Parts: sequence; C-alpha cells; structure tokens
Amino acid sequence: MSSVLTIILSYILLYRYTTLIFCVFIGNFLIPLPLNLMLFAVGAFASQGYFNIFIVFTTALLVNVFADVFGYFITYKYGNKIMTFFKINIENDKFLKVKRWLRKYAGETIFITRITGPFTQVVNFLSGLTGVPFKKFLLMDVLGNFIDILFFTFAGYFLGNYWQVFLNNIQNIITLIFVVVILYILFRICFKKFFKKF
Amino acid sequence: MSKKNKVLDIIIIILLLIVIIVTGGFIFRQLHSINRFNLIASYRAKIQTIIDKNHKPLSLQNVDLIDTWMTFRYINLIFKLPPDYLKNSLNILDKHYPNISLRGYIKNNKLDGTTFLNNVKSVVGNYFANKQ
Repeated sequence: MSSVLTIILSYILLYRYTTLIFCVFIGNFLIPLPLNLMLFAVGAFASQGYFNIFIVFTTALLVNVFADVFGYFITYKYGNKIMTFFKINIENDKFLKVKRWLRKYAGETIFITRITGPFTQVVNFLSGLTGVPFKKFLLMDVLGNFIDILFFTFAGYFLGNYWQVFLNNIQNIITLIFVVVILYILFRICFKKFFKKF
Repeated sequence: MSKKNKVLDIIIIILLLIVIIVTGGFIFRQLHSINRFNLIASYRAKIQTIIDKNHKPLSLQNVDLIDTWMTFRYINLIFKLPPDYLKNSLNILDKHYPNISLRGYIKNNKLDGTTFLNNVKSVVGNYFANKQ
C-alpha cells in the first residue's frame, strides 16, 4: 500500500466524511490522489459499519462533479487571463492542435479520464480553456464519475473485511484500464495517419 | 430518392421490426423459464453467502491485517474487541484514545513502530486465544 494512501486512510478513519469530501475535492481539482483506491477502501469500511455506503456514494459523486465543474469553470471564465499571466501563448500551433482535438473528441476524452484518474484535472482545465460546451462536459462528467464511483465503492463493500487482500488486484485493474485507454488513443491516431496516406 | 426505393426502405424497416419483436419474445420466454427454475434466486443466495463470509467479524487468522494506518477505534470495530481492551492491555494513557492511529500514537510517544505493531497484533491474538 502506498504511503499517500495510508495517510489518507488514517485521516478517513479519524474524520470520516470531512476527509472524504476534502480528498475527493482536492484529488479532482488540483493534485492527483489515489482516489479510486481510497473509495475502494471506504466501501469496505462501509461494509464494516464505519460509513453508510449510500451516503458515501452520493457524497463522492456530488463532490467529484462539483470539483470537476469548478476546474472547468475557472479556466472557462479566467483561462485566458491565467495564460497571459504565466506568459503562455495560446495561439501557437501546438495549443490550437490540442484545442481542435479536444473539441472533436470532447465526450469520450472527458468520459475516459473520469475512470482512468491521473488526467482528470488537466482535462477539466483544458475543457474550460478550449470552450467545450458545458452541457456536454457535465453529461460526460456525471456519467463517467457515476460508473467509476459505483464500481470502486461497491467492489470494496462486496469484498468487506478482505479488501486489503484484493488491493493489488484493484491496482492492476486501474493500470489495465489506463493502458487500454492509451492503446486506444494511439490506435486512433495511427489509424487516422495510416488512412490519410491513401 | 425514388418512390420504389422508399417503399423498399419501409419494407426493410417493417421486416427488421418483426425480427426484433420475435427475438425479444424468445428472449422473454427464455428468461421466464430460467426464472421458473429459480436460477436468479440461487445466484442471489450464492452472492449473499459470499457477502456474509466477507462481512464476518475478523478472527485470530486475520491479525496480520493490522497496520499502523489503522486507528484503535477501527481495530476495536473490525475485531469486535471491548472498547477499553487495547487501552488496558497496552497501557495507553493518550487522551485521544481510541481516536488516534497507531502511527500517530507511535510518533507521539517516540516508540519503535515494528515493536509496537507486533505488540498490538499479539494482544489482539491473545484476546481470541483467551476467548477460546
């Protein structure tokens, strides 16, 4: 178990829902945290009577969506000012390419990054910055988060006292999803380039 | 689009709808017959057995699961220990007990982590040994 996760779990046991809300918000808005593993553990704690599984699920979903929308909103509203402040040119070719790509594949990018984890914050900021329609962002965000949170909290709840035994397997599942997503993106890029030649 | 093509499209759509309805009917009948054999109930019972097994209070065999990130309250809960059992057995005087993690307690009292963790494990193990 990683040291970050053990620290989070200690605080979860001490301050319960307050830590849950804080970690989910920070983990989705700013710093990548092992949130899926945390939710898996909290699901198991719920099965032991430490939490209520439905309150955990609802809280995690609401805070997750709120943090994502907050990240989106900040760059949607103040993105250009922030970029100008940090002297980042958003009119260069690379950025325009990213903008075009994200606008084209906004739905699937937002949906997939809710499940894979580490790119959530970046995609939220980029979605706001590139002006992805809010309705589309919200729909994909809610859908992706719903599936992700449902899977991890209820997997923990189902495995109960033996969740620690399955922690490595869960870590492997997360890595596998991540690899599949990367392969899918690479495949799409290569596929497109290959057919452009003909 | 010519009139002939339009008629052909409508015929294809009607045929597809008939196929979907017939297939749906077969699937419904199949599910209904499965239900008659009580397959769903048997799966539900199997899942419930697994849940019950996973949710049983921990025992002597699970003492190794104890780790320093756990709080005393959590250990009491999962092993169903009396609230003051660990406090008395380990001579804990910390006013935050049981709402303190083992790691926090070790740090506050400048103890050796591994030794204290092993002590907790053996005390919990003794509880079950005495119970038997």
